[in-house]
Amino acid sequence: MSELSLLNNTLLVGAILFALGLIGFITRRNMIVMFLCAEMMLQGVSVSLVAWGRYHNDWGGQMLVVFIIAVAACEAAIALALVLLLAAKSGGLDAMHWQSLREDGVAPFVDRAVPEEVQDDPIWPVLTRSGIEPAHDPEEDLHRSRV
Amino acid sequence: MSESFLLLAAVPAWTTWLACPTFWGLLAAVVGLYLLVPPHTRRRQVVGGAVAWIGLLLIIADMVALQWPVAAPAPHVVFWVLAAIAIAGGVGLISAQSPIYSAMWFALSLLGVAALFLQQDAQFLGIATIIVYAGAIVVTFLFVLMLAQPEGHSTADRISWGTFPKFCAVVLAGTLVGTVSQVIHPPVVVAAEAPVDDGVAPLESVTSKPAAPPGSLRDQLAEKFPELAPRLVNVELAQPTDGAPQFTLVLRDGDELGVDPQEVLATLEPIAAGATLTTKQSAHNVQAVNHMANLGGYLFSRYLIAVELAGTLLLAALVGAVSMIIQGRLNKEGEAHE
Repeated sequence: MSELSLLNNTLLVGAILFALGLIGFITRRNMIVMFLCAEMMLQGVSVSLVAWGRYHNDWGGQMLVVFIIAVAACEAAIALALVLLLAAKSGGLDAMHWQSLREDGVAPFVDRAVPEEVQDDPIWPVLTRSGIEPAHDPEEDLHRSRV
Repeated sequence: MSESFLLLAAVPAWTTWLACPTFWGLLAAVVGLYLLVPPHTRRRQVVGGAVAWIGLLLIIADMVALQWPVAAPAPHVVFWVLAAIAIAGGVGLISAQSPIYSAMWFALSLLGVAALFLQQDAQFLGIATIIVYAGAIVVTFLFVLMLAQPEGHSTADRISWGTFPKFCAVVLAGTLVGTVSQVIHPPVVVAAEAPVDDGVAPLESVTSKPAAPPGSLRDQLAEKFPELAPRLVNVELAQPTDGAPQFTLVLRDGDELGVDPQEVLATLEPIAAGATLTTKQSAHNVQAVNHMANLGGYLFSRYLIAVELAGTLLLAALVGAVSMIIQGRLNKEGEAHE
């Protein structure tokens, strides 16, 4: 692959990744998915930067990506702490809970119709709630020796 | 056209668009993505996914066709397979109903991106992406999901903000990709033949395939000598006023020329007659064999202050996150006491 076509292809892929992140950030309502989409946009930019650095035979592109990774780690730490607090306050990850922060005179957003849950896809990953003691089965305690 | 319409002048005519497969691919991808984002129904997901992939394959096919013929098809195949993995991860991220699945798709996308980095000889970044992003950031996201939304999914994940924001988002994204693709391969309008005066306005004969761009000297040599391609960084041409022009082949750090210099000179003959040939090792070389040593050298010499700043930023983020959580806990205890 010649250097020019490698640059062209990579720039296109970077733009597509950025665009996908953009769509997700605007359309999704789950705060965590929105942050994942922001990370996706960073990935698109990183891909383009590495391609430019290679084309111009310059280390600057890769250096910038190193710092993008560092800043993304900071951003993830702060954002997740914030999201945890917000979720604890509002009882969910829906960004609509925070629409009271909107400007004066802007009409509130109201969901018109909540679609039925997709019934033919019943297998959802069930997560153990972390941080609390799990429920004990009394029968199990009887036939298990001291653990 | 006046100068104030420069931006408008850069937009090609409608007929040029209609002849361009990338335009139709983008259109299909935009429609497919519009169907893929929430609200979810089984039919929208299947139809949207199919249409989006058709559009994407059309764009890829157009890119490949514009660069055809290629000397070595294998790197192209590898590149597009990796790119398809990365893009599939991105599509899954925005279309998955459960945020857990979104995080998993994002991890897949990261693997694709890391592989793209590796293909471009950015070994450190490829590994760092897997370790830092897929290993640490995605796992932290999953932890927070478990803490904040233990039931796995909620109503808010199945709906969006409504039709208009969705429409704006996909159009914005499509325009972005379209602009980049147009800059990469500008559609070339072939001059219309002499108009025949039969009362009908002549249609512009258009093609989206531009004339093959004159490749750089390096690319020309790489086409001619495939075994030299990975080692050759650049070709410099010095044309002193007194004396013969001189080509300098810049080789990767620690590599030999490995081909007959006379053959190379014969290839370069049409560009500068009677030239001489020398070789030298590249100093600042992103494709060097000792990649890590070079990268570390740059990072801790020229970018040292930035490294210190990044360290300070990490520390500040750490302290900030911890203090936020502590403050939230204090507030909660205060409410419990009241």
